[in-house]
Amino acid sequence: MTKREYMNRLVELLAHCDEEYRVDILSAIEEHFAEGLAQGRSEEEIVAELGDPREIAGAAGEFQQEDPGPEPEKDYAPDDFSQTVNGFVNRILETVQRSIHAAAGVNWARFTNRERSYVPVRNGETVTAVVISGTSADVTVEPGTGEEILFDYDPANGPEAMLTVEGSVLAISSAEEWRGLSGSLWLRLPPRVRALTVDLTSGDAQVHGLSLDNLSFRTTSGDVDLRQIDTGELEISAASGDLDAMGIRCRTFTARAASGDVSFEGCAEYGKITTASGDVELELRESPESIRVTTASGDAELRIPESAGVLFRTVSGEANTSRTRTRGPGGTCIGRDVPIRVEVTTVSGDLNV
Amino acid sequence: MNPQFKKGALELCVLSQLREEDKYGYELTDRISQKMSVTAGTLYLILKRLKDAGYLTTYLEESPAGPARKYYHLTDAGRRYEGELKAEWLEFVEKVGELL
Repeated sequence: MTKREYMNRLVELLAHCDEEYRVDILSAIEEHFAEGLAQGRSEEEIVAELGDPREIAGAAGEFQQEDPGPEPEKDYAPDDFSQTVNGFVNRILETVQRSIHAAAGVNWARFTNRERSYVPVRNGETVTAVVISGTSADVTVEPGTGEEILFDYDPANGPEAMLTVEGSVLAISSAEEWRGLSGSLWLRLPPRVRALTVDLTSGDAQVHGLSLDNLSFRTTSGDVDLRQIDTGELEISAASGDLDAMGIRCRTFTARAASGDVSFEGCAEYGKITTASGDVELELRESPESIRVTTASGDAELRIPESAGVLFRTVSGEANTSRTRTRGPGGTCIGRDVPIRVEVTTVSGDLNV
Repeated sequence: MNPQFKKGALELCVLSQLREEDKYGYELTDRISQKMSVTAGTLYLILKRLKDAGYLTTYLEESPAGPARKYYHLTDAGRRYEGELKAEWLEFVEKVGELL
C-alpha cells in the first residue's frame, strides 16, 4: 500500500469522527510518514509500522474522549443558506420515501430494457425542482427544447424507476426499496426547472448547459462532471468521488470531499471548499468576494486574477508562487496591495498560485 | 492482552518517555514500538487521548530536515497521572511476582 492509499483509506474510516479529532490524527500520521521518508525508509515499511488503518479506526472510538466538546461555530453566511437547502432536500427525500411506502395513488412510470427514446414525464407541467435519489446509475442531464421534462432510463437488469410528482417537485427514485437505480438515466429539463438535486452512490453524473438557481450533489464514489452551468448555488458533498466543473458561473460554491478531488473553472462570488486528502484546483475568471479552501493533506492549485490576494495558513505545507509574498502572524499573504479574497488553510498540503 | 490493561500500560509507557524531555511523534513511537509490539498508529491515538485529557500539550518546532515537528510536553496533571499509573503498575507487578 502506498502512502496515498493509506491516507485515503484512513480518511474514509475516520469519516465518522469529529473534524478536530480526525485532523489531529491525520496530521500526526502524515508527519510520521514525512519523518520516516526523510530517514530513507520506504512507504511500505512505514505503512507496516503504522498498522492496519482499520485497527486504527476501530481503536479510535475506544480511545476517543467521551465528550467531543461543543460544535465548532459556523462563521460563514452562505453555509447557513446551504443548510436550509439541505434541510429542504431532506424533507423532499422523506416525502419520496413515504410515497414509496404509500404506493397507491402515485404517478409512476415503468421502464424496461428497450431502445433509448425520451418520453415526457406525466403531470410534469408544474415541476420546477427535480430530485434524483439513491442511484448507482449513470445520470446525464441536459437542457431540453420544449416545455416538457423528457426522461429515459435503461436499468440494465436493475429495478424499475419511479417518478413521483408532488406539487413543484419531481422525484425520481428506484421502485424497489432495497435496490437503487442502476444502468443509465437521461433527463432533459425545460428552462422553468430551477433546482436539481442528485444523490449518487456509485454512478457518475454529467450535467451540462443548464441555467438553475440551485444545483446540488451528494456522491459516495461516483464522479460529477459539470460543463457550462449557470446557477445561484452549486453544492457538492463527496466521499471518494471527484468533481470536475468547467465553464461555471455561480454565486456560491460549496464543496466537501474526503478523498475526492475538486476541480473548478469559472466564476464564483463566494466559496467554501473543504477536503481531507482530496486535491483542489481552482481557476477563477474574476476576483471573488470570499473563498475559503481547507484541506488536511490535499494540495491546492489556484489560478486567480492578480487583483485577488491569498492568505495561506499551514502546518507543514509549502507555498509556491511567483507573486509577492509577505509573512505575517496570520499566515503568508500572497499578492501586493490587494485585498485578501481567498484563504487557504491546510495541514500538510502544498499551495501553488 | 486485555485491551484495558494494554491501554493503561501503553499510556504509562508514553507518559514515562516524556518525563525527562519533550519528544516529537516519530521519535516517541519509534522508541516504544522497538520494545513493544504495538503499531505507531495506535500510539498516535493514545497521544491524542492523553492530550484531550489535559495530560499532554503539543507545540510545533522547525526541524533541521523536512517539515515542522509536533512535540509532546507533559503537563503537571500528566506528571501526577504518570506517578499514579506507575505506582499501580509496580504494585501489580510485585503481586504477580509473588504468585508466580
